[in-house]
Amino acid sequence: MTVVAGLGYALLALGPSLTLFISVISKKPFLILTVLTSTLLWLVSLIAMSGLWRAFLPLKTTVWWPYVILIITSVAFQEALRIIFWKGYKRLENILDTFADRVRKPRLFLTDKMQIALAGGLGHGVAHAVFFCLSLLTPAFGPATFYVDRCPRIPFFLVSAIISLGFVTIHTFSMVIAFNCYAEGKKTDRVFVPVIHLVAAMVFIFAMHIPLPFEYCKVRFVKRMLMDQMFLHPDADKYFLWWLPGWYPSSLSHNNLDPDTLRPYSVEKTHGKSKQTRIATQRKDILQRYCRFSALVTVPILY
Amino acid sequence: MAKKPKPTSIIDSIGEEIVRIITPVSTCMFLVVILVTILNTNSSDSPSSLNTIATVAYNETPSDSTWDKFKGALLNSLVFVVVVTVTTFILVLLFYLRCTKFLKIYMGFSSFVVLGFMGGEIGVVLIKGFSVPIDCFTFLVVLFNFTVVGVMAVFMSKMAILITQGYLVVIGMLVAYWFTMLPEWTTWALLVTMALYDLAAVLLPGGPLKLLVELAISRDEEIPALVYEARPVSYDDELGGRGGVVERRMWKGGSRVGSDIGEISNSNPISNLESDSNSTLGEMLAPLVQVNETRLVVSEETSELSVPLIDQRANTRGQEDDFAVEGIGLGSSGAIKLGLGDFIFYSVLVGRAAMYDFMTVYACYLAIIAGLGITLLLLALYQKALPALPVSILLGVLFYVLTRFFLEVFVVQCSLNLLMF
Repeated sequence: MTVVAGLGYALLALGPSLTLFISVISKKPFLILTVLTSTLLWLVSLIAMSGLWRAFLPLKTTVWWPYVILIITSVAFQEALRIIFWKGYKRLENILDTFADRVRKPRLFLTDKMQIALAGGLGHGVAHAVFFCLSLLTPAFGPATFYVDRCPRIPFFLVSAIISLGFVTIHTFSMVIAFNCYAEGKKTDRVFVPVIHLVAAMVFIFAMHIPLPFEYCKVRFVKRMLMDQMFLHPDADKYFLWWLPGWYPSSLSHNNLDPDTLRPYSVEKTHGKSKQTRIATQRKDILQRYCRFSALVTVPILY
Repeated sequence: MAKKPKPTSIIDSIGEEIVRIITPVSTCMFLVVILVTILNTNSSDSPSSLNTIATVAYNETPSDSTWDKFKGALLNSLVFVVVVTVTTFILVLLFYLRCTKFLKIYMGFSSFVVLGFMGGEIGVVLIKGFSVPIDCFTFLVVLFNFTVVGVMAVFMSKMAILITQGYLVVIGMLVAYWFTMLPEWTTWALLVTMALYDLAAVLLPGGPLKLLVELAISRDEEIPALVYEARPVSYDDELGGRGGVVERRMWKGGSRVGSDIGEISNSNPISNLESDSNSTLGEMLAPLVQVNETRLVVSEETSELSVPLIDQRANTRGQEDDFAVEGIGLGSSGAIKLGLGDFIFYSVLVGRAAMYDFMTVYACYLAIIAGLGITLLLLALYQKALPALPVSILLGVLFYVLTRFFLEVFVVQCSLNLLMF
């Protein structure tokens, strides 16, 4: 659908990561190298997966369990990659610290470590967006568009762009959370990250295999969950998603979104720690919530 | 209340040289990909009517069988490598006989031809394709000015470094675009054989490039070549480094001034190759001679630069094992230079990948950057002349094959079924 639409899809998938790149990562060359490394590693894991599965493709579309196995193996592979990345990072941290001692500069700060984790996650996310969305966008620059059987109401490019956007967010912030939890040794987040990844990946398999009324109930349920999580106004999704075809636009004319009812985010649990750790923990919490939100919000969007 | 200045962390400055060399390489590849996608969609004819030295043995037609194509491509690339070896030996001979002025003039002449004729040709195609309203006199004047400034930038190093770097990238891009117009099998065979030739020429005891490097080191001269020099990084260390920094800068300044005489001289013989079908073999003189020779990764330059610098640092710090730690800073004492031939062949690989699909472009780009990183690491480790081509090209070809036959099918299947992970 012309170059403009193609560029739009590309920006939709990669816009936030581009912003993140320009504002945070381009300032420090080391982070740029981290992004490139993690992108490469993700690509290598993807090639390994494709090598593994090549013999079984093309998959039959009627049964759903081959998809489940594919997703489970891929997610397991990528989580293993994350652990390998963590081990490599630990070694790098030691090298950097010894180098810093020799050059008589301060050791790595907590924010530095988080930035490296962010860069690593961004590399994964960008790799996903590039290989699952951008590389398939070449037809979008032409005069027509394309619809897939599994989602016949939205052009395929838009769907893949939005899903890639969600996954960029998930990958970026999972890395931060994962590194944090490996460093602190907490058990809860160790499980949280792979579970979120798996759920986000699996959601699209079951999206098409659930009958319509249940779909509606699930949407209401998820909306209620979103409200509890993020203190959103009940009709905020109508406000944000008015542009999506099939969504109900009428609520806009009722003007029922009152910004004063949106409660501000508050942090209670950071007394007694140093300012930097407080900021870092605050950021981590925000990231965690945002990550959960993004993982869950892609569900109603697809519906 | 005065704010306490935030102590700078080490990750602020580590790896800066690598990024400074990755940026122009990426820019060149990006420009070639854009050119390839624009110009190959505008004109859909196949470039099989190219008569150049690279297709002298065998001209590929779409109707041949795979085995024929393979044999033909191998033959082509062998001929090419033989010609390149011969001309490199001629270059070594000329350098030995101290004909630097001749080499310099030849280099200026070839950059003139590349920028003027090939740049002009691509300009004309772009104007035709986009219907830009410009008359031929204006175009000629603009092109002439562009070319002359380019030749001057390549000749004199008193030009602003950004302009010199820009022109080197443009020259690399034009030559790489020309190369992508070769037939497919020939291009791939050429890339692999050039990588192997590079490995042999730089590391084997009788290789022409190794002789060249040794000659240059023994005479303490710069090799006349088209090399891209990344801007040197200046550090402001607190103690001990102060003296080291000043000396570093002066020394680099000195070497740059000294090298001006010979620096830019190496010619780009592609100048003589023309891309339209009317060209005859007689016009193919001295192909990529110096282009290949310029592929000498600064390695050589860095080895010269960094040896005295490391001694100096050791003196100011009194630490013996600074050298080992320098490996991480990767040339924190000197600027990294990359030969233009490396730019060209990387961009040829990525341009050829762009002719298939964008997924191969991304995969090959990552592979090449990884190869470049590995080469730089090895450079920091071994501190001697290293070929920059083999690792990157071989990785790039490997990733291209893997992506084309495995990854693409997998990703397309998964995406169409909306299975994303």
